Amino acid sequence: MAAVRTILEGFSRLLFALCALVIAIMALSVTYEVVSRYLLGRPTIWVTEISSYLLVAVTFLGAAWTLRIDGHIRMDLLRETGGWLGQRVSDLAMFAVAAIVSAALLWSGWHMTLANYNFGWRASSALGTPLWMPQSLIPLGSLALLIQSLIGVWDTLTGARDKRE
Amino acid sequence: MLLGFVFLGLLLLLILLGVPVAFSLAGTTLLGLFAMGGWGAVAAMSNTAWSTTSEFVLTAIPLFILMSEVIGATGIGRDLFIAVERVLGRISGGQAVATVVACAIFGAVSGTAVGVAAVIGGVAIPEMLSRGYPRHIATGSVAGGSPLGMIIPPSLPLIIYGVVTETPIANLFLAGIVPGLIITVLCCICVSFMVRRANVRSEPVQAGSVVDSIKLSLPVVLLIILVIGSIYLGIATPTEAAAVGAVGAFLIAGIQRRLTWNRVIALLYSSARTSAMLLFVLVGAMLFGYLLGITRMPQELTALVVDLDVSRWVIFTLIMLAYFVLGMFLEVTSIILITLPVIFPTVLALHFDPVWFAIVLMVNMSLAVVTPPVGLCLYVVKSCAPETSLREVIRGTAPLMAMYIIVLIALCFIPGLAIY
Amino acid sequence: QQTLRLGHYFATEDFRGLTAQHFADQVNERADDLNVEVYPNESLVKGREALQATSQGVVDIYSVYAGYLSGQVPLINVFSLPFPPPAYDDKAMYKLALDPKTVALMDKTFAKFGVKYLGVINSSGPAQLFLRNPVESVTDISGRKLRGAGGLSDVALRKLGASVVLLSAAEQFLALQTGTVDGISTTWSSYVNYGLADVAPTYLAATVVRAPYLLLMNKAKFDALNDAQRKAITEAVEDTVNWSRKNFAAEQDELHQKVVDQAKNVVEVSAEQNAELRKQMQPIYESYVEDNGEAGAQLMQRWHEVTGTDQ
Ligand code: NA
Ligand code: NA
Repeated sequence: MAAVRTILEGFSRLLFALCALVIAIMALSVTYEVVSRYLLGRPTIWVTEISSYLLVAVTFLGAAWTLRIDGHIRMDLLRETGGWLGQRVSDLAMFAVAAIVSAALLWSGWHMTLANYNFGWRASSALGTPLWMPQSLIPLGSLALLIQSLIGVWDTLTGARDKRE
Repeated sequence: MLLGFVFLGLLLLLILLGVPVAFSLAGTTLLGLFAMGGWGAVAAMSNTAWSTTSEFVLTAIPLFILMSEVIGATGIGRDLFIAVERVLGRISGGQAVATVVACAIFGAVSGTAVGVAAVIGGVAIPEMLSRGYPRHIATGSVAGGSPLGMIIPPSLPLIIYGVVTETPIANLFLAGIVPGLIITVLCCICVSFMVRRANVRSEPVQAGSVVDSIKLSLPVVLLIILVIGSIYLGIATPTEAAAVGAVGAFLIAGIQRRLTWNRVIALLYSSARTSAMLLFVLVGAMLFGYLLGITRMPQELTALVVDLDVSRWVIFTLIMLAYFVLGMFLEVTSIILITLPVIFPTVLALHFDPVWFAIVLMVNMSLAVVTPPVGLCLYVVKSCAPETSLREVIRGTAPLMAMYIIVLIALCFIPGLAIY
Repeated sequence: QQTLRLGHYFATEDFRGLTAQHFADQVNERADDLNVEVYPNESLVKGREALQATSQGVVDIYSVYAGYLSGQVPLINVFSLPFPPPAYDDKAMYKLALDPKTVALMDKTFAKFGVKYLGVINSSGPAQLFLRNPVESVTDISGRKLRGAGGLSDVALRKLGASVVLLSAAEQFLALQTGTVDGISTTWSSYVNYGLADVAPTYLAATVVRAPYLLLMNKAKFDALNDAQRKAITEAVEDTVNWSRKNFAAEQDELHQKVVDQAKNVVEVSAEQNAELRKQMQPIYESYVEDNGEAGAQLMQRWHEVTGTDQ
């Protein structure tokens, strides 16, 4: 059981580390574009497009671990005033809604990605990136978020979450 | 339209339950879409999530956050505060005044209010508390000064306003300068008055030489020149300037030997967390905007307001009140993205200047970042002083917010403050 | 009563916004049981997501600039081949677009994606070049940084030696003012409406691209309509095309006059230069046929016919 949890949470953690790395890459590549265009007079054809895909990565790869460390902004009124029960209800609502939302994003994101793959759709740009590649970040990140939400539901119901705090 | 209000009610309920804002927005949308169109309608979830996030202009969000993290984690922000404190520390309420001024200066580098609150709050609040300032003043002067980050250029919300309404961003940035400075002065007077009333007996600050202050603030000044300069010299677009600023902050911190491997990893993680949180709120807001759009509530509400047989200033006041209410529940970027396609045509139809309106909107949105339940700066400031209650933070912030409202009203009577 | 959501990219009062509204009004008038609601300003779906959103049914109908689809449906690039001959005016473009053979090919292509091709209801007019500094001819754009319009026209600008920079519409004014870019390829209406004459006073009248706006509909939604409803939609499209063509010409004349008045330097392109441009574009035209097989060859054939060019 503990091993399964380690693996599952390791998945979220790995995606989160990638998310941090992606932000650094984004800063460097946009700066490279500026330097290349201004000093060398040669704008790149890839920075603007790739950076917009990196933004999808930042959003979806970082979301799951952010949920794990309680980083998604929420109102703590019920948690602070509702006592033990209020805290349970509030946490359960958080993880349950997160689970439903991520399941919907996983399902619809998967269908979107698959359709783009089957239709062979590419970006209308010089790179002509097959759109399913960056789009697949959405079901990937949503999967991690779904797993993390279900772990949260379990921990809240079993009381493991109280012990951790 | 009625259905729109039902969804708003559901959203409010989820937020009050303590469901994170992003998931409350997305969850309400999911339920609404399903109720209105079954499984087929749920396809809009991924389509909207994709089109919201694959947008180059929004890369400025993680990049401005990264720059703030570098400045905060490496002590560059602390140096700026100490420099200002040494100059202003001797006057009445000196440190609170220095805090507001530091917010304004750092506002010229940062594009967001949250960035300013995090960097200045992390330094100024512990400093003021250690010198005997009451908690509400220590936290309130940071929370109240932080919106200067989005009024004084560069400004992420103004970039987004420009993109959505196709208003030249250069004009928007120029228009923010004077109102930003007026707010700074008014807030300084306000905090100085608050300190005097609270009868603070703070230890006097050691006065330093002006040369020392200049040396200490040099990194931040260099960054201001780098960010603003690269925009106005045609080197970078406002979006790209965020990246230039982030890399510039790394270089400065590296040259000053303030970067360790651990520190870099910690600040990247911290940027990742904040970015993922903000971007997910944005996705949720866009989803909710789609849902409200198909209920036609915003359209019909706008039509209702425009058709009212009243003066355009009455309508303007209604719009401002609506923004204030929205500002309580939503994050600034998402408010702009959701409302402008609907509100902006009205603004033009009533012959309001789009640049002027942008600045008025920014001043109004300054309230949004500090009003509960969703006031990002409130939470950031509170996390800098964990033992302070939210009520104390709000008590300290409210008088400064009055200054913003004064400037908002002044802008209505003297539009020349923003458009020159 | 069934509601159909029509999305587009423009302001309500823009000519293309008015055209979309005209179409909606026509449908609503002809079919009591249909109600077309218009969502302007990308308020429901972004322009570049038009095809995907229409295919998924996130929006029912969308009026989309053909350039946005160049990566998804390369076949439609025939409408927006870069630096077309002067003979490719709006009349020629509509002739190509409304040709029954073209319609049949488009219908078949879009049906694969679950999308019904309703037709072409607007033209972009010519997208031409506007620069910060004076130039004498098209050859002078070599070495300059230009904001591109996307699709094949970017490839063409690079072929002429220019560097293509990607910018959002809101950043273009500042970018021209400060010199982040040296010029821009855009339509007359954008030049006038965004006041670009202040920052890009040189007008180089070379047509980089002229593209149609396609009216697309979710196929499942269309197929579910009864015969009377379908007829109402088809008739509304016909009426809208006529309305748009009739009124667009006057609008364009007025805009062109404004462009010429506002620009400081107006640089016309001679017939020889145009011929030379065509020669340089030949490889792009050929690659279009290669990429699109039999259908591409047929459409290219029609393009040559309407423009009166030999192959
Ligand atoms: Na700023
Ligand atoms: Na708020």
